[in-house]
Amino acid sequence: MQDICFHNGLRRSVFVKASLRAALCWALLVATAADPSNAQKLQKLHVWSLTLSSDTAQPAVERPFHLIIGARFKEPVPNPDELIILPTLGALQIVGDERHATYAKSGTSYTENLTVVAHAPGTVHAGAAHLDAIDARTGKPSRFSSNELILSVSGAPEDNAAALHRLSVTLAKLALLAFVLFAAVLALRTWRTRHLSPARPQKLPAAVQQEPPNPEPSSLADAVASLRKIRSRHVVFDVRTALRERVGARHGQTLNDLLRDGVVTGEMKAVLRATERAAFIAERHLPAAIDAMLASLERYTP
Amino acid sequence: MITTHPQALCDALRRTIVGQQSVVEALVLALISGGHILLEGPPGLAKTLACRALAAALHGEFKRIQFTPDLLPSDVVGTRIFNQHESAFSTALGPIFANVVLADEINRAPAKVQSALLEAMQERQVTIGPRTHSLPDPFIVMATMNPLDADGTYALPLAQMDRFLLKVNVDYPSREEERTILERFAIEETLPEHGVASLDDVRSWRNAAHEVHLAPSLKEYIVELVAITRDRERLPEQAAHFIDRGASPRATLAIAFLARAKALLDGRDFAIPDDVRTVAPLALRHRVSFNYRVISENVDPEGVIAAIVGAVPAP
Repeated sequence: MQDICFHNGLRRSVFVKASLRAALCWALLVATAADPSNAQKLQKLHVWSLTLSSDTAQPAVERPFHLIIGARFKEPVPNPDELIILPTLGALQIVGDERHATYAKSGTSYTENLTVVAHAPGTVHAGAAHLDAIDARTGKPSRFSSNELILSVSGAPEDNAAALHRLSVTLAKLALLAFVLFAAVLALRTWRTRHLSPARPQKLPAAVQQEPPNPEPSSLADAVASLRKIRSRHVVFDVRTALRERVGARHGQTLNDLLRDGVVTGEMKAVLRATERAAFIAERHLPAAIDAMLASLERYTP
Repeated sequence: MITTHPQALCDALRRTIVGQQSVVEALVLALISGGHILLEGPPGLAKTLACRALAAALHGEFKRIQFTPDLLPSDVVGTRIFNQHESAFSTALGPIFANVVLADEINRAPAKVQSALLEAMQERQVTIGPRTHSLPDPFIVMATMNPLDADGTYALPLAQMDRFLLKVNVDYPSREEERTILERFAIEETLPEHGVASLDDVRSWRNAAHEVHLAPSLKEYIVELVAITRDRERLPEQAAHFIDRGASPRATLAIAFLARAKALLDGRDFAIPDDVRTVAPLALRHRVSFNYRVISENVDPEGVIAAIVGAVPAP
């Protein structure tokens, strides 16, 4: 036979052999599938999916793991487990088999959980799971196949101590990383506070910043003397500050706080009330309020 | 010119309602400020009685609207009815046309009814058909909510809560107060006092409250109290953890109104830091939005508000 080269590089003899092999396979498939007795046993189904998966990518010797076969049908299938042809598992040994079917309006979902174990390290080839049925879309008997799995089984399983050690090392690394990140964020925030937002304290209310409005008059007597000379709101606040220091008021405490705490007694209550009045009354009433304040201060004898 | 002091109204209400000092004071503060009030508390805590007593003491008209899921906006504001005799439409005004309106269990009605009410509260007028009707003056809405039964309720959105000048949490009475309730109400119903103050008095209180002096340092204090709710970095840790969103500028106005009213109630024509600090929780508690941690960590929102108020030093 003369060899004729095709443009795709296949030689004619090879092409003929391949064609013959394909024809033979097709004839065998048709012969088995078209067997009426066999076809009558098959259910007519819409098979939406048939999958094979593993719950671990790296199984270890003598450590059980799971192979999961999943199938979904459009129709309610009474016993789907009877339809599934389990895959060839090679060196894997089946130690458990759990089946679960869910029926809904949207169809049937079936999951088969095979617990398997490998006894030797190396590559394990799990073949495809199969399902024979009449494909409802074509009306022909068909074999549906899942994907195959190739798993690499590692050596002896780690003992608990080794696993614990590995876990603790991982946790220590994570903790170190978190600490480094936290320190970096803290440093960044500190740097930003100091360098980028110097105006922040200005956002505080003026009144709060002015807590000691005028620190010069250190004593109550000095402040009162100033008030007699300069009858202004500013000096009233000086007296107020000195009075609050005298009674041991904390920063931000109100008049009611002081009266409620019980630290203020007798005439001092009247003095504090008069001072509060002079500090917050309208400008037109201020002279009279200062007079009343000075009068109450004169009555006050510490 | 004030002929009757608002404290007289407070005293009259206290003679009718046992305990609930904060509720009584809040009602009068809202009345002086010209705002509306939201009362939240379990059933049976004299919320309705307080509202009735206030209306009676004012000689004003009182209407109660029980909010239910099938209530319609026209059931609140009114509607146009066809008069067969005259062959023309006439307007039937709804129960909102009263001086004191009690919107009982406001969160049981759907949003459109709540909106109709809140619109009337905001605009103080109602449009029915082609005509706009002004609501009476004074006009105060007291809405109640029961925090316990959440099933079948329509929670008030934050934007709608914002319309209420203040919110009061009505709590259970003390043992002593409960014994007094037993003695006072077990035999016969105590009738509220009538005619303690006139509607003209209320208007004069409102005018007087506007004249109350609010010092610049107090204005700064109010602004800071509200601004800090929006600034997570400056909030105390125990508050920042639970706050989702801060209060709106309406809170700033509300605190100022209420501080002036509080000063007037205490017989002063100037406000002091104590006034601001007393009324701040009333204006903030329904305007600050809390996150899920308040529920998951079982935290009292009142504690969070107190932490916010405590974080800003008074002038």
